[in-house]
Amino acid sequence: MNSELIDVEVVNKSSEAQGIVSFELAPTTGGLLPAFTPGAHIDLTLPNGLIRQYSLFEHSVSPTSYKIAVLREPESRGGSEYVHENLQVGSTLQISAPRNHFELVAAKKYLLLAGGIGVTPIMCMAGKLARDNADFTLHYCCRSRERMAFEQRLSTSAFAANVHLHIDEESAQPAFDAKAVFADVSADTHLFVCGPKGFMDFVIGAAKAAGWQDSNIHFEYFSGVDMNPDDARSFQIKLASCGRVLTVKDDQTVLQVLQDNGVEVPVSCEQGVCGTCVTRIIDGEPEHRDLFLTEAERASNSVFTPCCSRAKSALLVLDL
Amino acid sequence: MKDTSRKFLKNTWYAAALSTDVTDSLFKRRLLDTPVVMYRRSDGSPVALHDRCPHRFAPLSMGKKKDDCVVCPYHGLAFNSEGKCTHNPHGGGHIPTKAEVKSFPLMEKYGFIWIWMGDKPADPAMLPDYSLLDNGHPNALAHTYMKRPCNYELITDNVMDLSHIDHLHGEIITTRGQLSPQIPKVKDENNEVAVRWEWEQTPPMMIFNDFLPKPGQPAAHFVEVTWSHPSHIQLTVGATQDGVVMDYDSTVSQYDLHTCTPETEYSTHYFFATRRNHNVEDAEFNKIKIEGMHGAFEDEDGPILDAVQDQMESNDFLALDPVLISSDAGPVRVRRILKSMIEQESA
Repeated sequence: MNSELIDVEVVNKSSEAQGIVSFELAPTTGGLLPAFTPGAHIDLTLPNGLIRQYSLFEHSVSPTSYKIAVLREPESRGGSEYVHENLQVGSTLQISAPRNHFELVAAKKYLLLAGGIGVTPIMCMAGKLARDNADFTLHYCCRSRERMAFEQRLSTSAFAANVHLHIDEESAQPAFDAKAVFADVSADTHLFVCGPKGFMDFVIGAAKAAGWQDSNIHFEYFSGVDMNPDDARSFQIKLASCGRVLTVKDDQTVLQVLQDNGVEVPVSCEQGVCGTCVTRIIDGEPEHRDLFLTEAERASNSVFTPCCSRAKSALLVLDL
Repeated sequence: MKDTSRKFLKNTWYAAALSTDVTDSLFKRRLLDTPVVMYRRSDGSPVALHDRCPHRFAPLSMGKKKDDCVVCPYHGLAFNSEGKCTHNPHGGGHIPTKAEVKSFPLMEKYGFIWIWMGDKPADPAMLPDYSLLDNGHPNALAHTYMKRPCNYELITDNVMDLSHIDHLHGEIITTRGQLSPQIPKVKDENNEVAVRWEWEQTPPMMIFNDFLPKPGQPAAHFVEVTWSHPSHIQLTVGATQDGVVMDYDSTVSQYDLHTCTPETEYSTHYFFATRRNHNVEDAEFNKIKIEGMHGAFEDEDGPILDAVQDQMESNDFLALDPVLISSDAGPVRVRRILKSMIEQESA
């Protein structure tokens, strides 16, 4: 994984919708940026020290700039607010090379579904699929037209005929008829969905209810293969045997914290492959970042690998 | 029969032979530490019997075939293709009820003869669908076989972790260093494990370069391996210079089946079949290609696996506390699933 940061400059900033601003970032030294595939995101290291991930919304085989769109989150933890307020044309910052956890897969037919700001990777996919003459349909759901980024761009694109907008405020019934959209179940069709959690839960649930196979449903998630702690948050662990509570900072692993506090856990590969350090969880929800556990074990949330995995809940109670 | 139940998964299909190996004469092979004799009945259907006369344990494969029966070389007892003794030339000719050898269920498919060595009823549906091998021009399909003095799981590991390609193999299949830096996606579902890599390289893999629209120019590549128990791996590899769809049909590609059958715990029958979707009518190319693939294994993978086996004091790989790296995710998942299936079966 390429961990080198790239110095970029904001060369364009424009308002895309209510609360959504897009930025175009070009390397300060000019020239080409690393190539990427649709669905990829970059990390922005903001001048205030925060690191945030944003999907790239426009695909190019040989990019001279990256384009991201940022929604100002009402409960911003400082990332989106900072980006909106402080990043201006001419601002410089550092970004990571693109990484992709949301790759297109080979399919005869594609169904793309975006909710709100989730449109960014989906638009990138649509652009690429259109250029490849692939068979695809894009459904884009939003509360209101004012909050709908890229509405103009999509409606006037070469693939406008493939795009369906669903705007809650402009419809008496639910704007998005999940039943109709998912009616055509086929092993040859793959679904790609991105949006707020509630939207994703609803859409994925509806697709499964309509008979879609898990293997045909793709959505963005950040666990499983990414062992870079750059999107990591701090949380606490509790040792069940003695009740001690320890804090795992965002730049520490559970294993480091255990070792620093004299708690011995057998360990070998240190990257979630070998399973030597697998530890039982008594309470709390882990964020699995290993490659060792099977899907079933992962779903049970009863064990995790402290060498690389983290917590979704504020506290993990470990059988140690 | 020797108790091998703890070492090998039994109630599953193993490749016993290439279809072309088994004729109307007697063909012997040790499978899962059990001697087996195979032949074809007069109607062409294959037979596999335990290669051990129940009388004084002579190998029936040293005997003679008479009609659809096998006659033991030692004292002349004859056994039919169901394994029942049909003739005893001694004394009054009485045939004891227990005079019988085990007959193993067989299935002939995809150019292989598959054997079921477990005690549960054979389940034809348990063999995955490899019909991609059956579809296409006959000159775009080839099979081969080799024997290696190493444990079969080492070969499975080798195919499930293709990051070794750039280190062990030569120019013909190099990815120009693109595989090792990746942490490939690993999926397991219904006791199958799939690992997939995608990358771009220039020039394209040499096996595909000449068949792409722009030889020497950048091409997107993919390779996907899917393991099914006990030791079958489908491998699809392809390259494309146009289009986002990365599968067998949409790229210049080939589809291989690797399948390993333990001879003993320390030696393996390695079977291989390959089907390609380009230059399909070229019989000469087909011959060169299968010889090349056979050679790559014989000269490059084989020696290292044999040497690895020599260094290992046991076959319990994970118990030897290997220092694993990111590319081991697929092999480790496979080993865990297989181990738990073997434990369940012998519980």
